[in-house]
Amino acid sequence: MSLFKTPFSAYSLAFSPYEQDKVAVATSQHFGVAGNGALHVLQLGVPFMREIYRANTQDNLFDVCWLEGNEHQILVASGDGSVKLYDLAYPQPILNLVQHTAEVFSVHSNYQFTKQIVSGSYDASAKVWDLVTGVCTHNFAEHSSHVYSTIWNPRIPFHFLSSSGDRTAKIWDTRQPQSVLTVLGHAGDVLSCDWDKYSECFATASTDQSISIWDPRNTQRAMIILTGHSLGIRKVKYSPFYGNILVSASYDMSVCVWNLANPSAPLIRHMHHTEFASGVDWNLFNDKLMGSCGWDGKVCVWDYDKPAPQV
Amino acid sequence: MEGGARRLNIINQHLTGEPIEVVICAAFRTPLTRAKKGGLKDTPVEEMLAQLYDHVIKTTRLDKAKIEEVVIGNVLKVGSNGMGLRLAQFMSGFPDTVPCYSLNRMCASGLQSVADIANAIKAGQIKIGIAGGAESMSLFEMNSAVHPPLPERAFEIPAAANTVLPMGITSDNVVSRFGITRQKMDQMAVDSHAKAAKAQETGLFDEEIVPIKTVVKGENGEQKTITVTKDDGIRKGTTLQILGKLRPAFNPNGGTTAGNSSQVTDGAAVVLLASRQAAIENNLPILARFVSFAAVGVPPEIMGVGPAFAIPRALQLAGLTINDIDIFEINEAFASQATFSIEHLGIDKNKVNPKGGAIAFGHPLGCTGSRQVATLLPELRRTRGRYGVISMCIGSGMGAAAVIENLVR
Repeated sequence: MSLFKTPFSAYSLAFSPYEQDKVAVATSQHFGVAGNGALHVLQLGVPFMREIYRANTQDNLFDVCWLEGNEHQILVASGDGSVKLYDLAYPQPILNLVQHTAEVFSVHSNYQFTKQIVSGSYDASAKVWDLVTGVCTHNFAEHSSHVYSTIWNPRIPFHFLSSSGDRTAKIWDTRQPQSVLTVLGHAGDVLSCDWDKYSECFATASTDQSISIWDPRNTQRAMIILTGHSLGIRKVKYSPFYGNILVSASYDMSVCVWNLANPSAPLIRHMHHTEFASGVDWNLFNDKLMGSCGWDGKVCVWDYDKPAPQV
Repeated sequence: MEGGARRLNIINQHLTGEPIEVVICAAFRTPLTRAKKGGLKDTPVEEMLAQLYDHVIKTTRLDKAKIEEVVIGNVLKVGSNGMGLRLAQFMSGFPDTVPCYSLNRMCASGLQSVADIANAIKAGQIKIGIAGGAESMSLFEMNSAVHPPLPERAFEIPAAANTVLPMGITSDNVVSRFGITRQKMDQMAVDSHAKAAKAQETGLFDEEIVPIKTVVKGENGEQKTITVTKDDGIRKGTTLQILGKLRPAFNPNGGTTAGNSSQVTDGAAVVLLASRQAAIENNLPILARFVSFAAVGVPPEIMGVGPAFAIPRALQLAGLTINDIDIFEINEAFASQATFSIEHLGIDKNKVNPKGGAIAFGHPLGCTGSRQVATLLPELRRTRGRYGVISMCIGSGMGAAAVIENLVR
């Protein structure tokens, strides 16, 4: 159990894929409406985390992701329309990718092509970038509203998932100009999506307060619909260890763990945040360990089946 | 800060979700019968409403306690029948927890009530409500709409003075100002009767009409219990020759006659509305979506042109154009103003009042707007149309219009 308090509102957190005890957090001043941002890298400790790196930015930060190819490098999605790459040895970004025309809301590093990343923006596009050249190699402009989430497929390195304010989620293949699959089922913006690591399935989470589990072989309707949040859902994340365990963070301030074997209600509801819960992630080394962050600036890491730490 | 406002808007949208959709779950009307002659001449509006409420509840199996508001339009009864509404609800066995109010936007009252319920649903104040309109033109005189005394000073102001012009005079003003020919007006009347007669013969009104069991008094005061099932103003075989013989009813040089004006009629109509979510939760039929409503002002001396200006505003609010509309229910208060409105907007005549209009079966003032909803929906379903417009002119110089989307296609 480990805690940290960021000065700004936290929007996203990500565990390091290299070290069990490191977590990165993207934060925004003034609730992400205006002002500065900060990237924090934290080392877990009991009861408090220790900040081992911090970078301040001129605009709000909305998403964070560790680079798969380098244990010292971290990507952030910025409100100024840029994707920035930080190296923990330097205070300033070592790469600034500017092509989006509105806030960048998501960024994700390809698991296998470790020099390739994808970003999603309020400009309704998803863009794929080559970090070696710093060039945007693909521009996918099929969504008709904000792109909130972009996640690479863990097994097929050409595929990524995107979710949008146009109420759809799409699967893309970087070898094809158009999306290869679209699912439409939510009654509101789809704020988050994630792949099941053990099957073809994926999850989408929406402002309609539900999470849908989709099988790409049947896009007509969701396979499972999880209801239990009382406001829009900000983030959904599959466990890297179990295909039937997910976690979600919601505007209703709760973090819920779900077991798809028993989808009628959340397995556990954690109520430790005192503002909107915005980010969640699973630790990649310990199957119980989970992290959450929220607009209250609290960053909490704990075993999901135990009570969440209260500050 | 522009970016900040956008981000704030997005977050706000995440929290409040999509705007609430208002759906129509039922729309029924009584038969429309001639004032002082027809089967409803001795029937108080409360009786008509109570029987319509019964029918709505019976067909939808709605729990009466779930109704959170009732709004009924009425023009001629003192105080627009505010007190009578409460009485009508208890006649129909509503629990005392269901509130109600009456309203009076004159000829648009029946549509305004629908808009009021829709607005309350949209605002999240209620989830399910009943709108409607009821008028007895037998028991209350048309003149009671103008209730003296009025301030004398007002009559020195031309527009103020014009608000109390007899409606027929305003119709003749439209005739003379816009050059509407007598022949065109009579043709509209002939068509109205022919369409209504055909609709009645082929049973197209059956779905919307609720038979009313009531008491009618004979000439010598004897009482008879009857069930009124049909509109009684429709005259099959009305021709241009017959109508051509009628003398102008108002201005001797005007074109407005008894034959090309709406009839004086008794009747009531009710519309059940709900948020889409409440409709689903309560197993209510989802027939149509209430899309937009607009009321506009026009010069009082040509009050009949109202639809020509209200319809574009309602369409603009809905993001639609004239061509997107499959059926127009435009109240035939007078053939003059209805003809002007249709021609001014370039509406295809064949899309207007496909089952006839007020010239054929009457215009019970406060009822008409809701009656048009009840008439429009079955026809949109039958013809698999998508959008319908309801509109009418309003005495004293206004127009109202609403756009409705048929969801059963």
